[in-house]
Amino acid sequence: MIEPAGAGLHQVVASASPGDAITDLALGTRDLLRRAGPSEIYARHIAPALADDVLPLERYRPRHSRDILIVHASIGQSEVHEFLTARAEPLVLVYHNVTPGRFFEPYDTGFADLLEVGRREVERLLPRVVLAIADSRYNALELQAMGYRDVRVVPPVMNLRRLTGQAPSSATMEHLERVPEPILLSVGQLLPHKRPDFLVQMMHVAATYLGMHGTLMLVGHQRLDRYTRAIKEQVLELNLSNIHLVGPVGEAELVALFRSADAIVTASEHEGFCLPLLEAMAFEKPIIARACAAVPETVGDAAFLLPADKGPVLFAEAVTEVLSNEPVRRQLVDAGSRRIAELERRPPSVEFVESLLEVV
Amino acid sequence: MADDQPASSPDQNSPSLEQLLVTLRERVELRRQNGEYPPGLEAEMESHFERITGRPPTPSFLLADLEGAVAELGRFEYARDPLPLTSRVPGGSALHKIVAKGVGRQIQGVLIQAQAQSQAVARTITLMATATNMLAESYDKRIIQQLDDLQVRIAEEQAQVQELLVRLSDVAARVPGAGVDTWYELDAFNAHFRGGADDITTRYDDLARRFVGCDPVLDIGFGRGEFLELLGGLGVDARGIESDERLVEWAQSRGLQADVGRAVEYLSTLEYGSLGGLVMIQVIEHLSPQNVIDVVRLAGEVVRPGGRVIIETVNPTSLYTYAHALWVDPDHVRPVHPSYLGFLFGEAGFERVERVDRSPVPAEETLEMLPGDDDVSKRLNANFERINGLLFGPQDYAIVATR
Repeated sequence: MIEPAGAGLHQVVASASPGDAITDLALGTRDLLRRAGPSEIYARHIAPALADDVLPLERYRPRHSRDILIVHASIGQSEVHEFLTARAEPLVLVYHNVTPGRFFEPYDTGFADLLEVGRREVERLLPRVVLAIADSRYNALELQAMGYRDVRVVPPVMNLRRLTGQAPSSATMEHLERVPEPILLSVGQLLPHKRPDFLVQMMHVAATYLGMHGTLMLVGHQRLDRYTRAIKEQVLELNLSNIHLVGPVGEAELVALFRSADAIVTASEHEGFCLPLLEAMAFEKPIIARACAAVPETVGDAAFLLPADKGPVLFAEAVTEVLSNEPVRRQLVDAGSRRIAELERRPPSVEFVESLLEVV
Repeated sequence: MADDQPASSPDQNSPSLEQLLVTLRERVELRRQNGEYPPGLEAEMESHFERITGRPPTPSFLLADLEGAVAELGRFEYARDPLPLTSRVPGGSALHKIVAKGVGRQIQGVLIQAQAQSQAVARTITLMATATNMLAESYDKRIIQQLDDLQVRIAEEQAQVQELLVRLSDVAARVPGAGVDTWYELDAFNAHFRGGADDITTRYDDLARRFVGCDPVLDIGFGRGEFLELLGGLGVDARGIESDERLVEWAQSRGLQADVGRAVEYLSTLEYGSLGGLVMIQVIEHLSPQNVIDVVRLAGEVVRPGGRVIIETVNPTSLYTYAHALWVDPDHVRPVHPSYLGFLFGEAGFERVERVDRSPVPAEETLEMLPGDDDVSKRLNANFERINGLLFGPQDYAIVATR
């Protein structure tokens, strides 16, 4: 561990785990900040693999009167909030979005309440915040609605080609060779606001009315048991044997899934940014998505965006069209490559640090 | 649907993708119209998922939990901890050793039996869970399969029905007498071609008077209700039916007894001899030949002996009508010949059948007679009369049939 010497810019995250976008952003930022002065990352929950990189929250000690804390807000975490309110340092808020609780009310009222508390915590930090940074214009608007002014927008992108260079899991590749094509991939936690139920309906329409008997892989953590059960029952009752609720996967498996996919789909209704769509572009895959929340600004013109008020029928038509129309598929893939290049031209962590240095 | 709209973002599809989106939306709409997508498909899928989230877990999930619990039960082992032999009481350890030796064997025996019983219970529950699970699974699969088959059949049949409806409306549009859907107001048509209400009242006064004493009278196709009003003015109990709902509402607003109905269907519902009179003014030419036959037969049944039927229609024996009234109305099916109509009433059991010629052609439109009294003039005038009779005969006739 490096002991900071002068005024420090330290980051606070609720939890740190390898591969997590916010953790990656924090690590990249820390490396840049260390060129200017002391910088550490503190977290409430730390994955063992990061024990050398991230410090427990309770180990934080102010070392300099001009220390600044950078807070990454992505979920309600009362202990982090209590820690922050007990401190006097000025805060830089990096808002990655807290999902509105109403999406979870039918399934887990406790969790829904927790999320609402999380949003209120962000609101309550307002007097202490000297700089507010948002992942997207969508998130910036949410912050402005809470009263924040002069919100900077910096996409939380670190290394978009992190996965493309890795070897895929050969077992997963072999398995995917045997599933019915085309393969549609959706990466994101199996949660209500991501609307996997919409994608299941889309597959029902595609199979029953459009003769498309491909496979849908729903990849991501299944943290809400009741909702996962509901999706399983929906799949069962619609008799869709080619929808797989894959759950969380390792990077090699994810690489295999991205490589094997014919298209990437998302029906998500609430996204603060949506990094998996940029990863899909790096794998040169066409994307079909609903134009909800921050998705349009994340993808730019590199996805076929469907109106938010349109249902799974139009989505199914769009998927079958993109899969069968080579010029359209190519157009989306090319636009994706341009979008990645555009984001890579100016690494966000540099932009991020420049914004920070303005207030130091 | 999504309630988080994009944040005033300039990002959107490229123009070519926007064009593709328009094409896809049109394609969806077309498929809906053709019945390829059943009506209400998305709403049904949405309510299906809401039903799932709103109900408790199905047996298969509960059974999965049960299996877990049984597995745990199976793994449980009764263990006999060594009996503590030490004691702080002098001589206690020796006593413990003796007691332990005395009961140890029995405790071991009890534990073995308890273990055996526990395993038997676990086996029994496992069998029960497996059997129930099998039942639930086969039940689930069968039901789902049947529902699936039904959905496919419904979708197929809906598509067929949709196709038939399209063909039916196509056929209906070609069949004479199937009716025409007019976008113009029928009132405007009547006012333009048949004259105002006052004209009609004067024109039909004589026919209305023939119903005095014939209560109740039914007016089929009462139109603007002039004849009903005439009958009312004469103190005759009268009611009418019309196929056009707007005309019925209008008549009702004027205090007339009016219902929506069509001739044959309505007459079929009436009791034998329940009417004293039946009138159809300029209606029968709108009916198909079969309906004409049926209406007369039914009139013979529902009009009581001594009662009266008056049917006024376009006169096909006057060629003038072919150039005027007959083909002005696109809803006319075919004219009914007076001799044929008279014949029908006679066959239907009416005692007296009278033909009354009506609406003479204005004299100035007929061939003018020569003024002279010479033979040539007389012969020419006789010919003119014959021609006038054929060309310019009365435009309408009425059959007045007494039961």
